[in-house]
Amino acid sequence: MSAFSIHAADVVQSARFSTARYSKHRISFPLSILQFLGSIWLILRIVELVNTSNAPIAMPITPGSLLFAAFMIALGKGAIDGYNRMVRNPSLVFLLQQPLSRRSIVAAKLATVFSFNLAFVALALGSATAMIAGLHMQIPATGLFIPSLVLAAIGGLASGFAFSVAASLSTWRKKITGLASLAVVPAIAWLVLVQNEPPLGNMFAFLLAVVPPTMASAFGTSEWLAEAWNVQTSSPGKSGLRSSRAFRLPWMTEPEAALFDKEIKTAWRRREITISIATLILLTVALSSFDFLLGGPPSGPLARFTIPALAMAGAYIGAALVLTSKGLSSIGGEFDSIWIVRTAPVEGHAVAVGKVSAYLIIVPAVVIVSLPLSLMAGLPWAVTVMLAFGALVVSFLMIAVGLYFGARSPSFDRNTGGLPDSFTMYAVFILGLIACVVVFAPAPLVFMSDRVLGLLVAILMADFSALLLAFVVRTTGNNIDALEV
Amino acid sequence: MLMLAARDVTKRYGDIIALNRVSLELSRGEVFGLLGSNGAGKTTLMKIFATLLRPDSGVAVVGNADVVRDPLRARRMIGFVPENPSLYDKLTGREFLNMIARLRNMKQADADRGISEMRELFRMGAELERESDGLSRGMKQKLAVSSALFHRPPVLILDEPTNGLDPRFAKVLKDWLKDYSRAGNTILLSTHVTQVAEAICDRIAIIHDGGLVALGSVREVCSKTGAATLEDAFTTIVGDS
Repeated sequence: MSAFSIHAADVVQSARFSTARYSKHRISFPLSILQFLGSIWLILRIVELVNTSNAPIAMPITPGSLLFAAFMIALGKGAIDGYNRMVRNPSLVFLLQQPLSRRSIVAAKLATVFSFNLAFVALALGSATAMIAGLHMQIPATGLFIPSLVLAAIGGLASGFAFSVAASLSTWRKKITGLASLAVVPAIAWLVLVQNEPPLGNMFAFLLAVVPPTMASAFGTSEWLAEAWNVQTSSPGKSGLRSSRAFRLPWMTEPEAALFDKEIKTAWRRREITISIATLILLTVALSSFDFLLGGPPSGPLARFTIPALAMAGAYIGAALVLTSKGLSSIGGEFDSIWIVRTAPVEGHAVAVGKVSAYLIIVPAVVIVSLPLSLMAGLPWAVTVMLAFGALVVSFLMIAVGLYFGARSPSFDRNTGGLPDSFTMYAVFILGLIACVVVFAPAPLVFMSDRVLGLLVAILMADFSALLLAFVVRTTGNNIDALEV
Repeated sequence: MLMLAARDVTKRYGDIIALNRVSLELSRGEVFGLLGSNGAGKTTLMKIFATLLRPDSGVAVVGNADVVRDPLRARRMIGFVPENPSLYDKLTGREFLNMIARLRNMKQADADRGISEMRELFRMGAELERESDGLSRGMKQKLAVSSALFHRPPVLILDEPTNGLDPRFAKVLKDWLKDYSRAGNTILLSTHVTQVAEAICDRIAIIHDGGLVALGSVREVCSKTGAATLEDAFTTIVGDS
């Protein structure tokens, strides 16, 4: 009963945050729904086209790899939600002091993470099913794939939730022990789903078997909840390594440099830069393994697009993970500290410039993600240069999209780390994808007939996307100036 | 010379009227106390002066700068401390104060001098070099107050500035504020502690349900209600409502 009360309070609070945000921009909600449905239709249509045209896509996309991807995405989301809603949440103190077991608190928070994320999965799958039936789409769907997908989401969310606690323990020894124990499940999932590729029925049985231990690991974290929460919310301020060196870029004004310096120091000390770089390295390794999995140059009529498409997909995923999310939380992530910049005699534009400049230092790493696959495959240098410019365009646009929505309707909810709800985030990621395709598409199209001209168009598009970002920075500044807190 | 003025300021949050045609004026060198029950509208009024909120109607002015039309000029003249100040948890106290100095385009020498003064005033030693998230509530309050004082603005807007300070440092702050006002600076502060208002305020206003219900010196407010202390006067005016 106590767990239900906590869960109910979480739901009410989140609903009110979302309602407040949407009520400020009434058009946002219907637009998000349209965008959501449109993107589901787009994905289904692509699957249908591939299915009916018999085009060889020369990519190792199997039900197993899709289920593993779903498991890992859910794991990441579960870790972020567990961290923000429970481990790093200062208001958890009001629950920890109540006469209820830690297990009840964990159960309540887990229920919140499940209900929000699985509601999103249900909405997506429900919409897809309705479209397939209503539009008579020819989608190859076997009966067990959807239930397997749901199980992968449940297992991934529970694992991620447990990861958030294990990664927050007080000593490195405890952290490594916890994380290593929990890493067994994703490792086995990779072996079974990706490497072994059993029939779908066996995958379903495997995922069904994975759910109980992942749930047990999530509930088991209740033993360490207080320790993890204490470490994350009241760690003693460090005094030994705090350099007073101020970071700045040469062209910045003093206020812009002050905010840039604050962003860099905060991101570094919260290990956000380290996590971003680690994420991008993992992504690069994962992309590079595609070359290994392909076992040589891809074949078929569309083969020459395989490597560039994978490289750009990698740049997009990397940018979405480390840049768009920063943009989305750029204002909301200030939480109650927003008074500091809002009462300082600086324009919102300077605040936005300081913040975005700090995000831009990650851009070279995103560009690098797109290169190894092309180099390993021995593609012409012009293609590699083209991909680098493509990644640059993707980076600028993904920051711009995140920043625009993050500033237009900021979420100051500490439970979500200043990020908006899953629905909005999904819509922003899809909108970013569409923007990237639309803006960069002319470059490869021209490149196919004239390489030099194609490269020039790519440079032009990079300039254009940078200009677009500058414009969004300007509008973000106006939004900050108009903010009432 | 007027340093802060509100004229018929009204602010609504949906159906709730937080401020209802509030007017008041603060002169140069004046310490003005805002008193009121929880939710009476004190913080809303202070946030309007600090340019964090815009009035729905009426005008609020800092110096000669309208807070809506010319917020940057208004901000250059103020030092503000909110009721529950949240700081950047991963910056040290010194880095935080230096950041404020840079946002205000202060010369480094002036910033260093101001930071040293605050360090002495509040006896901040090694804590100044520690990240904020490891500091005590009182230390964070000292930092927040320091961020408003160290650049020596002509107008201070302080929402419950003694919150979290132990009696010794609450007295230190009160004495500093008195001296600061004598130097010609204007201070608007809100407090629930009537003794603070009695000790340092030249005039006070009591806000109740979004409206000003009493205005004058502590003695005037007390004599109007026939109360011996400001606490009694406050209780009489606000009543049990």
